[in-house]
This record gives sequence, structure tokens and C-alpha cells, in this order.
Amino acid sequence: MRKQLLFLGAITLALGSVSMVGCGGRQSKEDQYVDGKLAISIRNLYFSGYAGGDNYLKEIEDKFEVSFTLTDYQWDQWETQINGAISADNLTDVFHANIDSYNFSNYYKDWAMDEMIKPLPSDLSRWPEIKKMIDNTTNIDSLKINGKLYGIPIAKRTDDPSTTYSPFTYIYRRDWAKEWGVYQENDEYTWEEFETLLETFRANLASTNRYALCDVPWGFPSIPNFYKQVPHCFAQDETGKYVNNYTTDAYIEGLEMAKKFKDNDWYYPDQNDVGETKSRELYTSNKVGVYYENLSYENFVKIKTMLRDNNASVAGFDLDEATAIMKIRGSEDNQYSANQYVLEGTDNWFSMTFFDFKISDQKMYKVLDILDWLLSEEGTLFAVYGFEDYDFVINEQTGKAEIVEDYWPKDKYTGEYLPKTNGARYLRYLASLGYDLLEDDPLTDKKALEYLNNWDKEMKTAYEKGELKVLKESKEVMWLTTEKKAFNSGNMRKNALNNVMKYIYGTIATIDEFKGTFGNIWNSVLEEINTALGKK
Amino acid sequence: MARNKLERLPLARREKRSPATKIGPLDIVIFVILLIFALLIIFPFYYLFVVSITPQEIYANTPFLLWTPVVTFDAYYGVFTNKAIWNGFGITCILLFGGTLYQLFFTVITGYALSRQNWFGKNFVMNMILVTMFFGGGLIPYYLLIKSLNMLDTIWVMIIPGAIDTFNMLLMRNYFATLPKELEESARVDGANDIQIFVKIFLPLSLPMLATIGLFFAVGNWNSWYNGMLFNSSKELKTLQQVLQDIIVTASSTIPNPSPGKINTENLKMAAIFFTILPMMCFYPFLQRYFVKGIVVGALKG
Repeated sequence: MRKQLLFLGAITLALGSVSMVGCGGRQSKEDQYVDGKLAISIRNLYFSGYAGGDNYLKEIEDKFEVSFTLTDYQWDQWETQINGAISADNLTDVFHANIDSYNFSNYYKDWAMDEMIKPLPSDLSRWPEIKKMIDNTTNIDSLKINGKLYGIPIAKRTDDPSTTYSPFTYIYRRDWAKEWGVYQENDEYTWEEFETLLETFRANLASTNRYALCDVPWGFPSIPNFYKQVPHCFAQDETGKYVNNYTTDAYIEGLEMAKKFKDNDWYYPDQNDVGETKSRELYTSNKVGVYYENLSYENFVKIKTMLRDNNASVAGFDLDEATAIMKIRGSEDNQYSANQYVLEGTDNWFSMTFFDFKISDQKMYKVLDILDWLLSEEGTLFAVYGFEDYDFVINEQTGKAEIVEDYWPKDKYTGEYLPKTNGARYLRYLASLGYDLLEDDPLTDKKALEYLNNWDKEMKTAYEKGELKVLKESKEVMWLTTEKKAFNSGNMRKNALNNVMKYIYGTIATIDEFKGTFGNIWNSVLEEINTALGKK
Repeated sequence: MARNKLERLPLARREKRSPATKIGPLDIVIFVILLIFALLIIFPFYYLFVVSITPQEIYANTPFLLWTPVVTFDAYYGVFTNKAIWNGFGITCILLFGGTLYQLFFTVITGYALSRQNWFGKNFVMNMILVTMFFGGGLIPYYLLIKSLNMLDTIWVMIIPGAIDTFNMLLMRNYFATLPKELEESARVDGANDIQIFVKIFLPLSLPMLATIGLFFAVGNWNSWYNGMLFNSSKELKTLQQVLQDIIVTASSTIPNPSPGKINTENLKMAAIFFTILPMMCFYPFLQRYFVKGIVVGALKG
């Protein structure tokens, strides 16, 4: 017995000593210099594939007398890498984190309260471009903690911050719909017409082991997304009280439709196990007719490019004719979206650039100086094109930038412009994804952009007319931090989606049984939310 | 007339060989089953290779690809001209050779020491090592430890912490423990010291186990990525598997990124995977005989 106790004691001592390693106070980092230039380390997801060392980055380093060390995150390990670095106090001077996925927790608040991240200066007038961008950013107050903003929300676009929805919707084979007589003018369908199209696709594709519909895995099942009231967990009933979004009548109707889609063999049979790459490949290799995805510019271009390449030798294949975004709205008697399209609401940002709490004001101001310049007209031209009179010239008549063709490499087969490695472009991603620059960017697929812009205009018009329903969780509950909500809501959503799958695949037999899977945790979290918000 | 070869064999050998010359229905069934198993194992590698040399369009439009009508090595050109892959290859080779030798050294000498006769604290050391098989300090304490040892953003973080693999050390220890004590005693009589006994007597007798464990370590080091992902941010320190992961994951991510760059086609991904697994596939058969023997020896005598 004595031996065992000694043994246990030794283990405890060993584990304790390991745990204590590094538990020192948080001390400010002293500024380091490389060849007389202020050293700044930056870690950002978008630096993936970028190695630095180009003349554009060097120009910025010389201009601002800084020396960068740029590193990236791995997309599927982003959160792990950040959490490790945060917990072990091993942050780069500037780093990039996804705040969207923390909507259901209070990590960001914890980082601020624990002095892991440094707040922006309260007076941003020294950096007018950054100030303008932040002032225009949607829902900015939600990101403030005790009146302070602890990072730069990376704006999707700086010219039009009113972006209110994400393009999570269906893209389909318009050529097949026309061929089999189910095409609707202007790609506009009601849900009933959508079902007819799926059945027609199924009937025509089944003999060649092809399928009607596939969802990107994170979007499966897609149909309830168009029926539910809010994107995530907490919907409101008629009295304003918060209820479980997954048990509302609207969601249940969408869920029943999803089950019908599966039972009618409209879905790709392995939909439940399909990966992101595979799901996209199914559509672009002509194996499914309708595909649900986030149709952002880059995804849309990827899909179109792959579809084009996979049909390169098909005589008469017209890419622009072959594929289109579906616009599906509820029919007049649809009680949840009568004559309305439905899209998921979003803010103008989903991730933020943070500053390590320990960096000096001098360093933080220097980074802000650089970003402010990159957001200015001069910096933007530099980030999009490069050096004036080398990479681009200003057309005196139009006043617009034009590339100097001789210095831009082109693809020898397609004639498309190839990207130049421009560090300024990557650094600009610390503040903005710059979708508004796509028009000017010589690398942009202009046709795809024009198509998406037209779709966007249609949706905006529909929104103004009340024909677009934008699903958005209310700010008061989205950013409410209460103990049970912070602790449970991530798992609540996961469990809810698991049960949704079980219902669709028949493991849960009835809707009553499905509703019964939401137990005490849901009730207690909802009760806590309603109490905190005075909704009793 | 000369007798045929079989008749010329001694009777005992003739009797031994004769059943093998008869192929019964059961043999055919066994053969077919084994053939199916072999195909199941070989086919994924074959398919990987075929896709890697197939143009994207043919791959996308062929439901079941057994061979490609058009062969292209463009994907391999893409792989071989990718600097990141070669850089990752270099790092992984350092891990493969340096890491494997380092791990073998510590694992073997620890196993040997713990297999010897009782010395003060042996059981305590043994138990402390055993504990690590069942309990871990957790990710954050481990991160803090690595940080306090100044190993962040260095290649050492992928080598040094893996000095002793408890399971393999136990295999080694058990094996050493089964070797006759008399060998050690007679060497001592001949004037050999501890190091000489270890190097000249025990190590040569342990070749199958060394090959087996060496192979475990080599495969582990070749596939290593987690420590690099977690502790290193420098692109220059990315292992081959991390680069491969980048190639595959970047192609599938749906994260908003206004400059998606080149789309990695399936044949490029497969070529990168093939390039990554090929060295291990070539390495494996040469150690297989030791591998099987080593496992059996360790298992029976343990």
C-alpha cells in the first residue's frame, strides 16, 4: 500500500511539475529589429501557399521600415493551432482567428478579459481608411467588449458593407433541365417545381449511376435551411420567447421534405458520408444534377472551371448555358415563405485580425499604418496590380488602371492571366478580403463575376420588395454570454444535427421521437436565455 | 534411361514434395481467397497510380477507371516542380534517418537496461515509463513544456520528444530478457565490459527486433505531421505529410478566399500521394522478413 501511495505521489508530482512549466506572468515583448527594421511576425490563414520574398513585400518593408515574418495556418487545424498558441502564450504579433465559429461560445471575450489580445486604440482618426471600414462594418457593436474593439473584423468588401446574406443555395444543370423539359424561365422555381425537376433528373440519370441532388456535407440536409426561422439554435415564437429552432413547425416541415428527398432516392446515396471535395466533384463531373454549396465567387469559379475542364472534349458544351444558380421561392400557399426566396443572413465579416497583448504600441501602430495605406487608393492599386508603370498604367482618358500586358504572364493554353506573387495583396487580407476589388483585378473571371453580380442584384431587388427572407439570429441572443449557453451551445447544435440525420435515415422513426431527443440541456439553456433577456 | 528428377530424390524428400505437386479443390479455394485479398490490398495503390496519370476529364467521366486511354505525367511534373514538396521531402528525410536512429538508440538502450538484473530504482523507472502509456499531461502542458525547452519552431520538436516509445521499448526489453544469461556471463569471463557485451553480443542477436522496431519508427517518422503542425509555424519546417495535407485540404476548403489560386486536380493530388507513399512502399519489402520474424519473436518470448 505504501508503495502504491508513493507511486501515485510521484505521478502527481510529475504531472504537477509539467503543468507548472511556463506559468509565468505575461510580460511585454521587447521590440526586435532586423537590419534596423522593426520585426513583425504575422500568422494568417490566407498566407497559405505564399512564401514571401517578392519585390512587392520588400517595397512595403522598405517603405515602412519593417521586416516581416509571415506564417500560415492549416485550414482544417486552424482552431487547434490558435488554441495551442493562445494557451501556451506563444502568439505571433498579429494573428488571424475565425470569430464566426465562436458565435456560440465566449472565447473571444475570454481572450480580451484575460489580456491575451490587445484592444485597438479608441481613437482611430490617425488611420482614416481603417476607421471608415470599421465604422461601416455591420454589427460592429457586438464585437466590442466594454466599449473596446479587440481586433479588426476582416471585411468581405469595403465599398458595400450592407451584405446581409450568404450565397448558400443550389446550382444546377440547366442544360439537362432544358433537355428533359423541366426548365423554368430565368431559373426560377417553386419548391414544387424543384421536386418535379429532381424526380425528372432521377428518372433520367438512374440508369447511368448518376443522381439528382448532392449537398456539400456541412450543408446537409439543405432543404430545412430554407424552412427554418434562424440559421442556428434559437428561434423566437410569436411572443418573442426563445424556443428550440429544430422543433418549430417550420423546421419540421423542412425536415419532412429532406426525408422525402432521401426516400425518393433524389439524394446521392452516400450523401451522409461524402466529403467536401467529393461532393463538388460529383457535380463538376456530371454525376449529379443539382448541388447545394456556398456559391461565393471563388467557389463558383472553382465549380465552373472544373465543369469546363471535365467537359473539355464534349462537342457543343456551353459552360454558361450548362450551369446556373437556381432561384427557388415558396409558392403562394407556402405558409413560411410565400413568394419568397430564402437565404441565410450574415455579417460583413467572419474572421478578425488580432494583436498579441504583449506587443508594443509602436508595433501595433506600425501594422495599422501599413493596413491603412493598403486600404487607401494608392495601396489598393499596389495590392491589386503592383508597381505603377511596370505592372500597370493609369489610362489618362478613363482614369482607370490598366495592366501592362508585357509584364503579366498568361496561361499558354487558355490565355488567362496568371497570378503574380504580390505580398501586398496578402497583407491586405489582414483587413479586407476585398471582394469589391474583383472588378479591377486582372485575375478575376469577369464572366463569373458578372453572373454573380446579376444574381446579387436580383436578390437585393427581391429583398427590397419583401420577396427575400433573410434568416438571421437576433443579436441579443447570438452574442449573449451566459454560463450554460457558453458551455453547451456548441454541442447542442451538433447533437441536433445528429438527430436530424437519424430522422432522415430512419433511426429515429417519428417526429415525436425526434422532438423527444431534445432534453434537459436544451430546456435549461433556453430557460437561462429567456430569463437573462427578460422573456419570461 | 535416366530416371526422372523426382525418382532421383531420396525417399524422404520425395514424400515431402509430393503433396505440393497435387493441387486439390481446397487449394484452389484458398488461392482464390488469397488472390482476392491480395487484389483488395493492391488495388487502391494501383488506382492511385492510374488516376495520377489520367487526364482530369477522363477521370471525371469514367465511372470505374481500370486503365487510362491517355497517359499524362503532367501531374508528376507539377509535383516534381513544387518547391514545397521537395522542402517537405528534405525535412521528412531528416526525421526518417535522424529521428529513427535517435529513437532506436534510446529505445534499445532503455530496453536493455531494464531487461538486466535488478539494479536500484529499476522498478520505479519502469513504472514511471509505463505510466506514460496510460496517462498524458494533456496538450496544453505538453505545449508549455515544449515552449519552455525552446523547441518551438525548430526541427527538434519533431525528433527529441519521441526518444522512447514505451510499447517498442517493452518489446525490446522482453526480447533482451529472453536471451540466455550465460551469454553475458561467458562474455564477462572473457573480459568484456557492459558496453562490449551489449554491442558485440546482444545487439547482433537482436537484429530482427531492431529491424521491426526500426521499421515502426521509420514509418512513424515518415508519416509525422502532428508535432510539426502544432509547434512549428515556419513553412520551411513543414514535413512532407503537411505539404500533402495542404495540397489536399486547400483544394477542398470552402473558406472565403478571393485568390483561390490554381485548382488542384484529382490527378495532382493522387500524384502527390503516390510520391509520398512510394519510398515507404519500396522500403517495406526489404525489411519484411525481419518484421514478421521480429513480431513473432517478441510475441512468443515476451
